[in-house]
Amino acid sequence: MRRGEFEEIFEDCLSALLEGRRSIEESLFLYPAWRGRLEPLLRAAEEIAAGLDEDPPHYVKERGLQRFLESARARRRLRQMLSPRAKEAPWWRWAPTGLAAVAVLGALAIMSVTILAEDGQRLSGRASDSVSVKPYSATLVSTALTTSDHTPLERVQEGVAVLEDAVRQGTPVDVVILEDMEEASDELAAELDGPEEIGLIEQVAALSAASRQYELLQELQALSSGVQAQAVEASLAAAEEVLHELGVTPTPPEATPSPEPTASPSPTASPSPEPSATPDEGPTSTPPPTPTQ
Amino acid sequence: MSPSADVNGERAVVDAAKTGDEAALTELYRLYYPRVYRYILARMGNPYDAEDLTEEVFLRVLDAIERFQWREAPFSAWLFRIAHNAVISQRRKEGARGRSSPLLEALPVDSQGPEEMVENRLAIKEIMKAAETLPEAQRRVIGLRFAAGLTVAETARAMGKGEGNVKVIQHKAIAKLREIFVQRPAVHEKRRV
Repeated sequence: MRRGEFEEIFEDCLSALLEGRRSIEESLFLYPAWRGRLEPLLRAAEEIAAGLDEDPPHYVKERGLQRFLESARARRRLRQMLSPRAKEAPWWRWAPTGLAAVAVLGALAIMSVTILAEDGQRLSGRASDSVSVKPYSATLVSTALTTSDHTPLERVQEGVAVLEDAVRQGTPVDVVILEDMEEASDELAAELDGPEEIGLIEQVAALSAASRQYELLQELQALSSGVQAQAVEASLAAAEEVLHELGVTPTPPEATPSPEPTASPSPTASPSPEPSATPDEGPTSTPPPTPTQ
Repeated sequence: MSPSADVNGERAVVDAAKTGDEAALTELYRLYYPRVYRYILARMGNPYDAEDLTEEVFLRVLDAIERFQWREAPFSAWLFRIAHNAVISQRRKEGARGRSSPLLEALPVDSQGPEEMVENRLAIKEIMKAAETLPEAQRRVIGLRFAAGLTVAETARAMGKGEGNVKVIQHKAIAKLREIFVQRPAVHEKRRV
């Protein structure tokens, strides 16, 4: 007997048995010389196959199918929503970020000159402003935001938390925080535009943080002036860039007279390709950032 | 009889499923759900774990199917590697929690009568208990060949082994299980009547 011959014969009989092509008796008739070794093994195999032939309950299978398909739909929707338009990345997509960076550098230069020349008196003395800008002092919050071991997304999320507090309490936001948010948003946009695949969960987290950042900064923008208004504007542009990278068009608040429009044109202002069922509806509240299909 | 016999048909279905086609995904699910369930049940010994893990396997399939390549392995082998990883991962979690998997306390009843159900439970319990004494590779071959219904070739691809090796492992596993069955004649004989 050559090596492995019995295993070959046994497999032939076993697969014939499992696939219903031959009974045990037929196999034993086919290989009479091996009957003594084959029969007990094939009987045992038959027992095992019968014992493990356990179908799942029908309702479990159907419930699983519904969840499976729903999950497939959700994944498809998410992919469509987050379809990386940035993968086609034309160079001019960096233009807004570049302009924002130039604006911020300019603002920083002006601020530095002002602080150096007047020792901060001019800024801290603006009691008449509705939102005052404090001279920079190292605070726990600002150090938390600039900690180097935080990812850009984490820094944006921390900044959003600070903005939430400030908007809720009507307190001023440190310009340094705004600048750090802008920097973190720029880095996040660059990551999203980069060659490395960003996971869906990270993309959703980025979408959530950038949307909220955008909304809060819009609220803050109405209350800011001077250097802070510039920092808010720059941070807003950076948040918008992140949203663009995620394939989302941010929507500015409903047409209020504003001398300095900072965001892209509202889709609500342009004619909609889809007919509306209620064309004469009155003004609605500000919609959140709209996914671009 | 094997669902993977129609390779070309399955290839078309898998390719359509990769694009997110719902009909194709449904077909794959219906084709493989019972086999994955049986495989996991054979490996875990608990129908609740089998239900949960089978669902999880199909969600993992959704995550990974876009990256599936035909040249690397047949779809069934690829799918059962995912199932195997899910089993190993679940075992690790249970090990960390100090939980031992209860053996078939509540098997689904569905179309079985009470007597038939009790007989089946005994048989599966016996098989599971006996299988616990086998080395991992032998247990895996039993699960893939008998519960999942894979061919030797598919089993070999799923395990990353040669077909000859799988045949030897399967022979040893069945011989060992038979020895154990013979030592428990009451149950074995009852099943055979």
